[in-house]
Amino acid sequence: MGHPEKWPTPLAIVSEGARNRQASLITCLNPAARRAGLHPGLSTARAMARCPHLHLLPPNPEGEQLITAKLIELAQTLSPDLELTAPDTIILARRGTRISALPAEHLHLAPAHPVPLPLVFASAKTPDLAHLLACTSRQFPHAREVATPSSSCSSLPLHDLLHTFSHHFDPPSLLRDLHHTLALWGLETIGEFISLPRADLLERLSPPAALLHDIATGTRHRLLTLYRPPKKYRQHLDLDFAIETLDQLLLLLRNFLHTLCSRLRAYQRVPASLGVTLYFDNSTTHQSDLRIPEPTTDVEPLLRIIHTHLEALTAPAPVIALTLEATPTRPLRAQTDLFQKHLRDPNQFAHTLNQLTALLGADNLGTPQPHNTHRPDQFTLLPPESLFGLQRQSQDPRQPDSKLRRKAPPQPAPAIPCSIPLRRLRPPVEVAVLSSPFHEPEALRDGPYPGPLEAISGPFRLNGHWWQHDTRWQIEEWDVLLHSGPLARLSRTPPHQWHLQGYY
Amino acid sequence: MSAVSLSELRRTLREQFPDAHQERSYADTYHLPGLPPLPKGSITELVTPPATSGATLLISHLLESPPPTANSSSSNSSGNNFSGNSSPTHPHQTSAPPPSQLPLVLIDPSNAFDPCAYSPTRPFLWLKPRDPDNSLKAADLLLRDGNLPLLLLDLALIPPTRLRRIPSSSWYRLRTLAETSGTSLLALTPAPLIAAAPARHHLQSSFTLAHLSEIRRDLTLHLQTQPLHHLSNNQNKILNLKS
Repeated sequence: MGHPEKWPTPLAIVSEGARNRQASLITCLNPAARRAGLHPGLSTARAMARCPHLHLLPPNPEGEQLITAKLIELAQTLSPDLELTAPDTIILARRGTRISALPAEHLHLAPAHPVPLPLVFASAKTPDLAHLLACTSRQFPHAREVATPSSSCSSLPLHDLLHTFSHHFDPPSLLRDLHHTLALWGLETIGEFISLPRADLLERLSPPAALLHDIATGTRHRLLTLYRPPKKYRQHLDLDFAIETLDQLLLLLRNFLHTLCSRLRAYQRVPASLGVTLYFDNSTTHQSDLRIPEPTTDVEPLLRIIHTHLEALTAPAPVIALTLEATPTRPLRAQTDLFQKHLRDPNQFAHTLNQLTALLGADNLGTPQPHNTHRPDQFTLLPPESLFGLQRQSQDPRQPDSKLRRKAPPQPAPAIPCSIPLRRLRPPVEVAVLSSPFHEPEALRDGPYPGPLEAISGPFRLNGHWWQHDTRWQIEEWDVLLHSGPLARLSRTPPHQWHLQGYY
Repeated sequence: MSAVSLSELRRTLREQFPDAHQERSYADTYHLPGLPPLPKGSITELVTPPATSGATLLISHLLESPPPTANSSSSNSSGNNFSGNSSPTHPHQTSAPPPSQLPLVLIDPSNAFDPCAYSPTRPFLWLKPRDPDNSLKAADLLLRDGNLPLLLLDLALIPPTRLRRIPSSSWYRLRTLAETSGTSLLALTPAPLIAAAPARHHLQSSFTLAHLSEIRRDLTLHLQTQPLHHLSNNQNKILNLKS
């Protein structure tokens, strides 16, 4: 985008594989590169071999989104009805006029339009023809090029038609086969292609070939998928006076929720999560994203969730501004089994979990996930919200909104077979053990049950990471029957460190 | 809707969903292997003296019960369909824990739960309060919530002298909450401590080292309980002295 002098030269965007030393492929080409015989999917090595002057560019998703947004902004000044056919292509619907008869000066473009790239305009009687003419226009790099009559597409190369509408071919090998067949027949232009009878094309080639025939002859009229900008559900307020109490803050948030929920209801949406941002007087901010277990537009449960969260928050300074943003989603459409029990009130349970988190601390509650290792007592405590992720997946696996479809937790390690689960002592109690020369425990000298061991079983040796000096570990476990006590597990870390790990 | 069509509708539903129309006892009790029926909406105390092994088998059974199948009969399934008033200590009684789709919550003030020893088949939430007082507060919140059928409160490794500092009014308050919400609370204690519990049992087991190499599922049959009021005075005194 920053080097317009390169635009007439062959340019190509490569995939990310180039950075990882993997095979990089061409993902996008400009017309000059296409004329050199290149096509998307080609490896960069082959592309460079066919076109030594080819310039390879890395992908720039942020830049592409910016350009698309500016293009939409420009298109909206010309017509309210538009279709975002591709990130770089917009089809406008001009009502009441024949597009093919619209001269260029009626486009009313501002001299300095916001899109920093050359634009190509084309008009035709059908959207697909206009798309074809725009993609194959040779008026480059100058902007504001003229509208092209539909009849001129007959002289265009046939491969332009095939590549412009390649998305109709699934799998992509169909496109290559069709291209090869038409080349064998000696067809080079669109005019030669459309001179063939449509019925014969359908019979001898694939249905997409007949579709391309309809597109090229202008007999296929399709409706535009109108672009509607994504709705933002956000409320922001800069306060004239700083807020120091929670009640005042909740009053404002309640008003925000009323407004947002009514807007969501108007579009048949519910909030999947609420983003609360507080701006403090000392230039700091607090931002939190609160997930709604059972999305609803009912204000009271949502306010309760925010209230529970803010109660546990200590503000460093008075609040001078606040923002509330709702992430919309479709309401849950799964019809739960009448005879299957689920949480009666998920929002209430989420509220209870928040209260438990505030009471016990986030580190002291959750769902344990054992690690895939032989080392004893290795696990991670997943946050309580993971319960809802699993429940929601089981209730509605076809949830259309991908934001709510939480990633399933990784498969846990298979449990070490143990008939009676251990009740662990954390931390393990260090004990003095009288042992034989072969390190067999015979008696405990101290600890909760001192005395001779009534029975022992073992040793069960475990070790790991032997290949790394700083992380290698080794442990020897014994199952014992304590003196006047229960079954227990003793462990020895060589050479002489004994611990009571727990009771069975 | 006319009376005739309503009865026909009921008959059709009964024919199409026979499992749902079987007699359920989960409205009254939950059944766990080795235990008599746990009354719903109440506190049950299970005394597990420190010298007794095997209390964790109960947790294992609750966590690892297979989910109910669509056509499982009440006599062979563990799930929503619970057996009726069968003998609680019959060795072949099928276990019927609370619905396995709902999370099981374990309040573990002694931080003794070993996640690596279980393969849960149901959602599970583990709470690790620092002390017994916070454990009761957590139990209070969960009982008020009312979404869960069963809570486990594992106080077995807490010294009884510490637990005796908990006023009995706290337990009575928890009992009232359980009755109101319909949630059952199973408390594992090292000694008889909860006078407010309508159902109080003492766990008896005789596991040896040889049992550690057996299949876990078979070991639950070795669990035996006895109601606390059936213990002789001497046995009660021994339990209290040991604590």
